[in-house]
Amino acid sequence: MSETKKNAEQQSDVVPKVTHALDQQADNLRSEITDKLDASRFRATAEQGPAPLTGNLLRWWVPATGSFAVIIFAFLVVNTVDLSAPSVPNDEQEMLLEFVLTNSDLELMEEDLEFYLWLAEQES
Amino acid sequence: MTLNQFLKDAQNRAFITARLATGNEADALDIVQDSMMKLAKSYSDKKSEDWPALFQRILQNSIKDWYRKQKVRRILWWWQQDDVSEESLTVETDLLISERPEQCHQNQQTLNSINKALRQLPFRQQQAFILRAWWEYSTEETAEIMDCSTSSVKTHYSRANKALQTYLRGIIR
Repeated sequence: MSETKKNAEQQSDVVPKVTHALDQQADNLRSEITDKLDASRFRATAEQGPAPLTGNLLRWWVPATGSFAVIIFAFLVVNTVDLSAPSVPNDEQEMLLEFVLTNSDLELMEEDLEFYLWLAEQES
Repeated sequence: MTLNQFLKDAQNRAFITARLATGNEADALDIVQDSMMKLAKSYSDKKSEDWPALFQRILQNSIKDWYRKQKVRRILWWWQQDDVSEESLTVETDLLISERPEQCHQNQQTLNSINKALRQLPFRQQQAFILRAWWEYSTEETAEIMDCSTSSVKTHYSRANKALQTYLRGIIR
């Protein structure tokens, strides 16, 4: 048997024995050590960041949904304002606006109205 | 798999790995705790399949940091060069106590010899051996964890094997 082959066999013989010894140690740690490791694990898991789904939700879906909601709201507001606008004919609107802007006395307006009514009667 | 379950499965092996590297139980516990914290804080949102390699990388980097700190400490306090206690290398397990006294003694001696042999390996060789042989990572995965090439891993692993064979000649039959 060649020297290299012999060495390789001896090396491969060492590996399982060493790993078995390490396994034995890992499986049979003293209880005070395992208690400390458990405590460390509890602390670590308590400190962990958000769960994957929640993290993604917070990162992408919440801002996206928020932005979409704002756009929809703005669209609805604009449309509602248009729809709820008074369905008064334009000429009447102008009259009303003129009335408000002229700041004329209401009584005078009534007198005018009476005059026009009288004039209408006379013409008929 | 939950993060808690993953850490539960890995914690004992991580502790043994850190203890072999540091030769000190208290430091090994600190290293494992830091590694768990870092994984939980920064990578808990990653896929569970990615956790083993990430955890191993964090663990190995923490061990490397420990070595750096020791080096600085040795430079600053040169008279404390040999402050790494060998007593922690003595294996005390519940299993050994339950066995027959003579068998228990022999078993304990073998385990201590193996630990000493592993401790005598240079850090990179020890790292390569533990990751490849015990944690059963592939050469590529080990190279990624150790942040080196696959050929370096092969070299370190082969040298570690040879050194262990020499150290443990006559002890392991």
